[in-house]
Amino acid sequence: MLSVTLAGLRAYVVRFLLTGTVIVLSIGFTAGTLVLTDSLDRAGRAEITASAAGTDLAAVPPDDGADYLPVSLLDRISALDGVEAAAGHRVVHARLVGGQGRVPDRSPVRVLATPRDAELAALPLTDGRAPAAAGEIVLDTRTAERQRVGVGDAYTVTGADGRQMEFSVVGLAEPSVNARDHPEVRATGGDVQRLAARPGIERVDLRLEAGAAPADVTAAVRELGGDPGHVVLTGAELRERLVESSTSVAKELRIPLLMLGAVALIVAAFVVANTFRILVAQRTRELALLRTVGATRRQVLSGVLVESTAVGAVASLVGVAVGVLAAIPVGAVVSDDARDVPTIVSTATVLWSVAVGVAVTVGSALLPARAATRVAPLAAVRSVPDGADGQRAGRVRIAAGLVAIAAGSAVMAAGALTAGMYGLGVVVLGAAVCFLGVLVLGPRVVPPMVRSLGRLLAGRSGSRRATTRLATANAVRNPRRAAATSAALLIGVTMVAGFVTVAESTRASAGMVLDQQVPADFLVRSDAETGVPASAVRAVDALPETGPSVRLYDGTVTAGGVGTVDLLGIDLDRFEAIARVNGEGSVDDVAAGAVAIDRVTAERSGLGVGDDVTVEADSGTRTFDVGYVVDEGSVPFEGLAVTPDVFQELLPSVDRPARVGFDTASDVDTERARAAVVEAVNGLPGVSVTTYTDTREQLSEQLDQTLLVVLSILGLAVVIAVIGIANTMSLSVHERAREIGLLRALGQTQRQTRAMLSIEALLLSGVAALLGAVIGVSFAWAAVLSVEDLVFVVPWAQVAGCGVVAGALGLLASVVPGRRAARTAPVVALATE
Amino acid sequence: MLVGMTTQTSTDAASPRWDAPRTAVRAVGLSKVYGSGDTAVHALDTVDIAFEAERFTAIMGPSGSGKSTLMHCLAGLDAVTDGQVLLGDTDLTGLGDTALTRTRRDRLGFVFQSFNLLPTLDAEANMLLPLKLAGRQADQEWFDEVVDVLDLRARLSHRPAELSGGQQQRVAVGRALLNRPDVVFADEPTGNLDTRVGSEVLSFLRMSVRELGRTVVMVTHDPSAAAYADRVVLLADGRLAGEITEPTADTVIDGLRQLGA
Repeated sequence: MLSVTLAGLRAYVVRFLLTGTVIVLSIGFTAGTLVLTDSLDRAGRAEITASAAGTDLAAVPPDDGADYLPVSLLDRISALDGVEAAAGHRVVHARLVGGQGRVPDRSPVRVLATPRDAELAALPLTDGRAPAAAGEIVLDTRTAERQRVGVGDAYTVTGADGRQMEFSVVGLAEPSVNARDHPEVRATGGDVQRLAARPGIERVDLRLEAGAAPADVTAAVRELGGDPGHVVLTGAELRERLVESSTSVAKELRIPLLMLGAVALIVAAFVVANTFRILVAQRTRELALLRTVGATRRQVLSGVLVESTAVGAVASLVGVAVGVLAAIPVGAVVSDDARDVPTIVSTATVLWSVAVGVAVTVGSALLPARAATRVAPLAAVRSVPDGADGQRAGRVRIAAGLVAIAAGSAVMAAGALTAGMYGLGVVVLGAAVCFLGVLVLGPRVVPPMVRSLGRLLAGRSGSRRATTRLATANAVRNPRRAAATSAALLIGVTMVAGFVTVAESTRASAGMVLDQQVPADFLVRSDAETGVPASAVRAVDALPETGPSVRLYDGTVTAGGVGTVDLLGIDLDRFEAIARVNGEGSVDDVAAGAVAIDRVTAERSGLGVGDDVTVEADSGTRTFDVGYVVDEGSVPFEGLAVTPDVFQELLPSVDRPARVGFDTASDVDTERARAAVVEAVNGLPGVSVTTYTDTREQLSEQLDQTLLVVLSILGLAVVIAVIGIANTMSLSVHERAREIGLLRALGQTQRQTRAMLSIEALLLSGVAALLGAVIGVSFAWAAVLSVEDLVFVVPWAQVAGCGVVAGALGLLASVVPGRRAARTAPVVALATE
Repeated sequence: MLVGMTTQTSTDAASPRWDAPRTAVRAVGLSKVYGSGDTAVHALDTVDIAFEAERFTAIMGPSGSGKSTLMHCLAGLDAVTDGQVLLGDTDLTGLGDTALTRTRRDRLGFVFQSFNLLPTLDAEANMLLPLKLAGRQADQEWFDEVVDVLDLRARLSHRPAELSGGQQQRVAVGRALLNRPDVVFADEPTGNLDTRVGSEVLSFLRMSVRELGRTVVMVTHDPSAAAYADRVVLLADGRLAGEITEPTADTVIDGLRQLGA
């Protein structure tokens, strides 16, 4: 039996290549993801372990205690017997101050305390030396290159309190695994404490003297006690803990990549199952012949089993190889080329990939083979395979499909109406069930759609009509095959349309939220908590390019019947002009000394327009009228709002506004105004300028990047689906050879034959594209509804574009089968079997 | 050894209707070689033959005699190695694929042994297929006449799977006649039919010659089928081996027996 199987395998090698390609692509993606994340993980793990390689014991805060240990603990541990060296670890976030005192970059600088002990520090120096004294730092090589800073240059950052510290770069080191994209500065422990908002150390590493007993030292460190106390870990425990808590790229990528890989795999399963169904249908006679000469059903089935296992295993192994090869360059890009990423191909990766690949292939092959062996051998020998399928979709199938769609839609509706974090998850679940229903109903839904589309394409008369009608009839002659072929593409198009719609809705919603939150064209804000200095306000106010300004003060007070609330100081004469507001009451009253209160706080405390409210602040207690209840305003606030003058009286200590908004003067170009504002605040420390357009662009860019990654992965699923269409087409050209020969004999030109195949592919891909676009947008609608503050926007052009691309790819898929069909000699039709 | 090499006299004797027999299709020095070198097989060896218009001619011969190859070459379904095939004044051997295809579509009709019809189209659409491929409308009167002659009126909306073998062949005959072809080629049209249904189809073919004025060239191995023809051409080893006019089953069997001798 094995020799027959192997012979069959050789004969069908070309057709198995198509199946194989699909498996290679999807398994390649899965294996590549596993290899990539394993490799990045290993690289990160190795580096983290190396960073604490010299640590024998470590003291860390207790799990339920405070974040930090007291700085004094370090000295007390250092003084213990048996301790060779001890080092305190601490990371604080600061902001970089650029050359002219402006903060050029909003991304925070990580400042790390560097142990004095070289072994505990394990500093991956590439140039210079470790920081030895206050004011000395080591900068990471990536930042050094980006910002063109070298050993000997100055580097200035501002800490939590807005104080600037100028450092001198004494060395360069590799960025740490947790650096992500932030600049990383390694300073002395003392300097790090000076930059910190709250003093303290995150952990103390210590190295034992030669001959000291770890147990004794552990006990001694424990005994130091104090408040809040600490936990002592061994070096190995510490390294394990560090690895687990690291926020490496690998960890974040793994799950989303594997999820998208699963989509590719599902599409592949559809394509493979369809291919095998066709292959087995075409081989029904061959299998039946085997049966008539004495092969048992079991033998025939095991033959198919061996065959599909062979195809699945070989294709999966090739897929793993492709995945590994693809992971190497991707790994280098993701890790920023800063360090060498070893390529880790674990046994688990290979086993999982091959197991999934073989399971998908064998599962897809066995079902149609079982059906084929049920046919009486002689009937099967006499049958002529022409691709028709007498089987109609059963009532059970229709009922199951409708129930799934109804249940899925209900779940989606429930999810869409549920505000809160579970809404989106419920919608996704409902969408999955609903989509399953569509797939189950496919054989009933796809053929009528193909026929309608075919009628649309056929036109009034002429030879094109004849060609289109032939193509339409061919496309739907086997409803299950038509449905399965378009299903693969349907999944891809649905996902793409859905993602694009959600992304555009997010973009549009973010734009609207920004419109509300940024009350002016520009916002000048302080990067420290000290507020915007008066000089900055004056400088910008004086510009001819800017219009009126609005000052925003932030503070906290205690109000009678309300409790501790935020107090917003805002120029109320500008309230309506810039800070569009809706509500009840009179803005004029607030401008004259009353308070405004937001609707939520008002209802919670039972306050309304005209009521009295007592406000207790640093300067004493005063009673105000409630002049206005704000339903909705451009400046969202929770609590009370007063004029800046009243604010100053209540909280004289907060003498600087946190933000100052400016409008562009009329008749001035926004770009020019922006340049002028930036120029005016240049040189003012800790002041940054945000423009409305900046923020929107940043957000847009992030969205575009995410979308690009997601779409390129989904693109793979679409490519697999298109290969599936090409697969189905070439198999059906093969089984319809006599029919095509007949058409050619009766006068179908080669061009018409190619056109017939193209239209057939176009109909299948077109239906998938149309249905996918509609379903994708509907799912996106439910998803958008479930997320508060999102408005639903359909990017018609993009959705249409995605449909057109899918249709065009379908056409492309028909090129090779079409050429083969056109080459069919008319004589083939006359061959008697 | 050769029987009835009397083309001239047989034409005169055939029927008084034909004063000046017109040639519908003609092969001149036609050769067809499969393979090359030592393995070359001469399926047809410089065959010269003419088929008169408005007559029913059968091509006969033992298996491997080249009768099917001859028909394929005459019908422009297969490329020739040497020689010419003239359909009226058109040299088919000089045409490219598209022109050849159009010629088949517009000037020839076909009835094959089996698999004549597209399973996805109903009987009417199958009959109209060559016209539709050309983007032309059927002549309704002619269509009605053909349908009535073939007794297919009640079957027009049936798919091939819903038709009997004889009905399928009648649909094929109807399709072959609808575009008023210069020649109808039939390749073992009764090969898959029982005797009664087969003779019915043959009667239709003869009727299409006698009453509808068509030209039919039929390949068959069945002497009783050949007896429906006006003339039988015998082929052996790729060469013309004689002919029989006004054949009966007996004269044909005789002729074949002598070929084998």
